Amino acid sequence: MNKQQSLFIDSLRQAETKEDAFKKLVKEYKERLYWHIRKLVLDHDDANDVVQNTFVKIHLNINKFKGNSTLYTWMYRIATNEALNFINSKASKIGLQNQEWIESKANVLTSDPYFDGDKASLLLQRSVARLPEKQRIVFNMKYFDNMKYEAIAEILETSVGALKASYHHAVKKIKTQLNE
Amino acid sequence: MNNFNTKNPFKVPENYFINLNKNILNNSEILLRNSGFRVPKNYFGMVQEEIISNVASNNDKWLLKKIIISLTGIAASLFLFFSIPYTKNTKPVIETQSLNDYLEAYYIEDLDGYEMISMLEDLDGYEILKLKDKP
Repeated sequence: MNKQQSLFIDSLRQAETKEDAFKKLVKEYKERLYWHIRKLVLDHDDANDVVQNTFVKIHLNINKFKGNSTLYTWMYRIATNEALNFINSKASKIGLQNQEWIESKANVLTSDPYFDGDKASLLLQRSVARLPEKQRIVFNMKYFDNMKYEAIAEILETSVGALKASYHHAVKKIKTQLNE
Repeated sequence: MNNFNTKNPFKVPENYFINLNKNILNNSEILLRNSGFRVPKNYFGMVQEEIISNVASNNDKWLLKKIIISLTGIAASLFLFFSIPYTKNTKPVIETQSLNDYLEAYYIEDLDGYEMISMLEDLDGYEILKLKDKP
């Protein structure tokens, strides 16, 4: 952890500077975390709920941040967990598997006022929704966000090799589905 | 460019480099488009304040929930501690059952699954994502 980040984390922990530091944090990261979450939950209102809860969790747990990773990585991990918990909760409420719930969301994207992708984008989203959870996360982070494997590995706490394999499988499945 | 071709036995299709340039630009645009997802107008401008106020109100709410859960736990323990030695075997079971019903009716049912998971995580320390290594 560099000195600048260390000072910023200190200001997030101290009562007198916490409020201002947290505002800076939200300003800096809200958009990046929102898009990461949005691609996992697909719907804007759901993404908004999850991004709000993510920042609540970050605020509540900032004292537990040990500095073993960058603040950005830690927040991305919380956002990913929040999105997955959200999907799990919504799916189980109506007796669906997580993947089935995501597929149902992808199938109604055409009527979503906040989705204006072309036919190719729609087909791609539907194919991504059919991937197993981990492959879907890896594909989103690699293909859409163009993140490095090393960064993804740190966030998901897995090896670069496993991620490469996941991405490779995901791409292969998507290609097969798009050619059907 | 012609200098490269003097002793180069390899060939490319006609207009390859012109099309390659277009393809690279098109691919970059696809990556920047977020694949069709949009947000309401000025969403990122407004969400800042929403997050800050939500964080403040949730801190109070979570603190209250923690206190309620802790107090009900203590109350249940005290209730059992004082009632078991003075009653017959069947009675505490009924009273414990009614206490459980009370807790479920007034506290647990108000929370949805998402809130329960979030609350448990917060009480037990935040658990980081654990995904299987195999794809």
